[in-house]
Order: sequence, then structure tokens, then C-alpha cells
Amino acid sequence: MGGKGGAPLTEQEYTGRAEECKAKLYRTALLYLGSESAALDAVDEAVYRGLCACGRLREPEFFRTWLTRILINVCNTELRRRRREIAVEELPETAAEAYDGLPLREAIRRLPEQLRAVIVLRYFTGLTLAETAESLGIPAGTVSTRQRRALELLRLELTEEV
Amino acid sequence: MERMEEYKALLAELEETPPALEHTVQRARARRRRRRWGRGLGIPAGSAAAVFAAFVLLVNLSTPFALACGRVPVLRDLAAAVSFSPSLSAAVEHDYVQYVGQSQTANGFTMTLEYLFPDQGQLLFFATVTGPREVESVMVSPTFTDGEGKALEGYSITCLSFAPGELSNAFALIPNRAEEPVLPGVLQVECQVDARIPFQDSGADQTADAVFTFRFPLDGTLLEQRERVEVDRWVDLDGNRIRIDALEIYPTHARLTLTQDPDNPEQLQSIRFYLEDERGRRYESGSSGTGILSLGSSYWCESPFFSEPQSLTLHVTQAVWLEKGREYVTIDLDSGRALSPLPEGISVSVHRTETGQVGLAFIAPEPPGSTEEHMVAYQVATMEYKTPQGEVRSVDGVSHTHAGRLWYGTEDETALPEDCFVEEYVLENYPWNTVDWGLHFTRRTAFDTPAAFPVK
Repeated sequence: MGGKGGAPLTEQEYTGRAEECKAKLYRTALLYLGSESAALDAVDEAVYRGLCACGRLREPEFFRTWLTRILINVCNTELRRRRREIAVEELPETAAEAYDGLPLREAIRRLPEQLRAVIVLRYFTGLTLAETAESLGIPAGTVSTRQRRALELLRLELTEEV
Repeated sequence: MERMEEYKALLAELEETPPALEHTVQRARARRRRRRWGRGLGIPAGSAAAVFAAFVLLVNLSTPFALACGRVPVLRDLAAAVSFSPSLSAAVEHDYVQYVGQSQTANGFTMTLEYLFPDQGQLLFFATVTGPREVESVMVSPTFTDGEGKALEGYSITCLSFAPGELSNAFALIPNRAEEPVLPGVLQVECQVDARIPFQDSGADQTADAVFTFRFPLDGTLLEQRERVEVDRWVDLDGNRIRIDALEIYPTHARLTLTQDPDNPEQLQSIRFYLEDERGRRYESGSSGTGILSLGSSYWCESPFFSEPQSLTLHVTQAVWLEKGREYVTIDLDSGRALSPLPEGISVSVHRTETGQVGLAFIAPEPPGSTEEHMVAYQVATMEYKTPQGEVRSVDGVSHTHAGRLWYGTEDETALPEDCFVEEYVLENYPWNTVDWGLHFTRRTAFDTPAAFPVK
């Protein structure tokens, strides 16, 4: 596919790439937001925003992480909107026992936002440690720390390798 | 079920996607085609020729836009820097950004003026400042002139302190007449950088500063983006009549203008609200770009500019009122008691010193949502007071604290009730026994069910 050497993505190139990763975007949004309809809305919004901005993407090799970043922003906006209506649902990191009693999906949803982002991208969307760092705009070391903590809370024994 | 089994089962479950996902990209393409490309240029939408003409027009006649097309780096850093703001995030996603990209170094500081959101209602400047390692935070105070050095008139500025090295919303230029701003084609801004360095061994704060001047063209085409929705509807809000005049929609914020019936028994001091469109999307009150809640009779909120809603409903969640005739409360400074009614839930405490200094504290219940990690307060009184002779004076400052005790170490030391905050004022050389202190409100209403009114 095109977009070589700094040339902007065409709409056709964008739509092709977006088709390839929309399922993983949906998976990310679903774990973030907890409902099919909200996840679909979030993916719709992210894909639309990406389409409007794709001409600015000068480094197409970052496409996946770039579009994931857009999706994360959309999801966080929705979560902030929800927080104004209902009590904060997140459990503190110190409440390890509280996570044990929850189904895994719910436990992920109740993780602090920073830990949830890392665990979703690393172990459900399939991004590497470097790609996760790129998507979230944080150092790789921070990703490593957060994923370790999240795996501890969730009692998941998954590899922490890149 | 063991956690690993749960994980595998969840992975398998997530492999299934809903049928609606199939047409996600097609929906995005259709939505983009419906977007009114020529809005800011007056070119009719829906015409391929018009789209091409608009692009050619922008590139050939607008140097900043051409520069932007040619050299704007991937906006990753800016997207991260504005992730707190739905309006700014939408603006970035829709390329509503002018790249400045100028950097200067002096006196050990480097300032890079990176991006500008050319919203004619609030020009937002994003910059990075680096300096000596001991600098804890920086604040940039701008002064604007045109390309010929003539001072710009008719504007206000806001500026925030921010951490060194972080791309931040450093300052904003807010034209007084947003509907017809007088902005030059070339803007020059002198930036005074004040750095905060925490206590040194000497025990005194030290500050260092540097001054930079940046000069760049303003993209006039991006500036001319504003939509005005005329409403002109009188409504009853919480026992008072208010006219919703209009909704002005700018790319990074929106403004709801209201008029109050002069016969109302109370003056509306502030409202909290949100707009909701037909898809249930909300636009909360307050501009996340500048933090401005209101300006005169306009109440600011997040912008639906890029969402292109077909309808909008105003939902008022809170109203703050000041009863006419109760603008001041009389306080006996000897007994520390209010001699006229205070707003519900508010109490007062006084501490006088032998030198004539008076500490006056209003104690108020914390609002919902205030936590130890994120303490929130609201305005109780004003900085204005009247002497017993009726002379109007004002104090220079006010402080808000959530401390556990008032007047610590004095004979007036008082334990504060839990879940309260204190709004404290200090009077110097005040010899009288009473004071009439200005109140900001007499009544606050939080609506269990928001008061809803159609706007668009």
C-alpha cells in the first residue's frame, strides 16, 4: 500500500488500512466503554476523524498507533462525560482483593484509566510495547511499569515481553 | 474460572464483531462528504469543483496555510497535549491548527511557540519552555502588536503556568468583539517568561525570566469560522425570566448569550449547563481551552463546531442567584456574627488582631465532586465591602483553603466542620466594629432534572 517516504495518505489508502484495523479498534473501545453501542459509536467517530486528518499523517508506518490514539481520545471523552453523571467507578490500585471478585471483563473496566489503557492495547489489541507507548504518548518504561501493575491486579500471568 | 481461562474466553468472545461494524468506513466517508467544506469561504458545499477551488484558493493565497500543508509535522504531540479538551481534540482531528514552529533561546531558557488555534473568539497558543533543571513551573505573559509594532487594542489575555518541557496551552488572546475581531495579517507577540524556582537554601523564592519576541502571519481564512444560531426565546428558569438570545459557535468553543428580565427578583450570577445534540453528544459548560465559564452575558461551553449537529438542547444543571437588595451582609466584627441573613449553609468567622487587621472567613459546604485529591470550591463573597459610613472599598485578594482549623495558634482558633472549605479575606487597618461585605450569591440551585430548552 502507498504512503511511501513522507507522502501523505490518500483517502483510498486510508480506508484500506482502516478496514484492516477496525475490528481491533472495536475490541479496544468495547473494553474501554463496556457496551456494544458505545464502542461502535466510538469507532465510527475515530475512523471519521482519522479520515479527515489522514492527509496530515506523514509517517504511515505509525498509522495503527495514530488511529488508536484517536480512538483512545474519543473513548476518554466519553468516559469523562459519564463521570459527570455517575459516581466514579474505578477501583483504587490498592484494592487488589476487590478485583479478584470481579469477572475479568468487569475488572478491566474498573482498572484506573492509565492501567486499563495499557492492558487493553497490549493484551487485547495486540500492540507491542513500543506501539502502545506510541499510541498513548508515554515512555516505553512507563508502559512496562503500568502493564506489570495491571497484570498483578488482574492476576493474569501473561508475558511482559515486547 | 481461573483467570487465564477467563482471558482466553474473553479473547474468543471479542473475536465476534457486530454487523454494524462492517460499514464503519463507509459511514465515515459519507459523513465526510456531507461536511460543509466551503463554510468558512462562502463556497457552496457539495461541489467537487468547489472543493478543489477552495483548496487551490487556500494554498495560493494563504502563505500560512501553504506552509501548514508543506511542513506541519504529525500532530501527535499536540493531540496528546489537548486530550483533556474535547473541543481542541476535535479541532486537531479536523486540522484546525496553524503551525508556528519558532524557537528562541536566551538566558538559559528556550521557548518554542509551536501551534496556534486561530479561533477568532479565542486564539490559543501552545508552546514549550525549557530552562534550568531547578525550574518547577513557568508562566508566559504575552503582549501583542501588529507586524509594524503597533499595539493591538481591544483584547484580553489569559495565561497559565505549566511545567517546563511540556507542550502546553501557554496563553490565549481573546478579542473583545469576537464577532468582528480586528486582527492583523501579521502578529507579533512579546513573551515574558517567568520561571518559578522553589525555595533555595536562603529561604526566599527566586524567579528568573527571559523575553522572546515571535512574529508570524495569521491565517485569516481559518479565523473566519463562526456560526450564529438565533434563538430569541424567553424561558422561566428557577423562578426568574431569562431570554436565550443566541448560540455562537466557534471552532474551539461556543457561547450562549442570555438576557435577564430587569424585573426579576434575583440576578443570575452563573449557570452550569450542557448542550446536547440529536445523537446524545454533550457539550459541557466552560471552555476547556481557556477555562473561561462566562464573559459578560455570554456563557461558554465546548464546541459542536465539527460535529455539525442538526439540533441542540440546552440543559441547565445549576443556577446561582443573587437576590436584589441582599447584595451585602452585615457582620459584627466583635462577636463574629452575621447581623443579616447569610446564604443557606454559609457561616462566618472573624479574627481581629491588635494591629487593626481583620481576618474574615466564610465557611461553606464543599460542592459535590470535591475530593481530597481534587478539591473544588465556589465563590461565596466578593472582594468588595462597605464601611459603616457607606464607603465602598475593595481588598486585593482572596484565598480558598480546605484546612482543618481556622486562625491557628490564636485565641480565635476554630475547628472547621468536615467537608467544608473556607473563603478568607483580610482587611488592613480597619477600625470599625461592623462591615457590610459583598455576597456573590444568596441562592444556589442544583437541578435534580436539568431544565431543558431547545436552542437549535
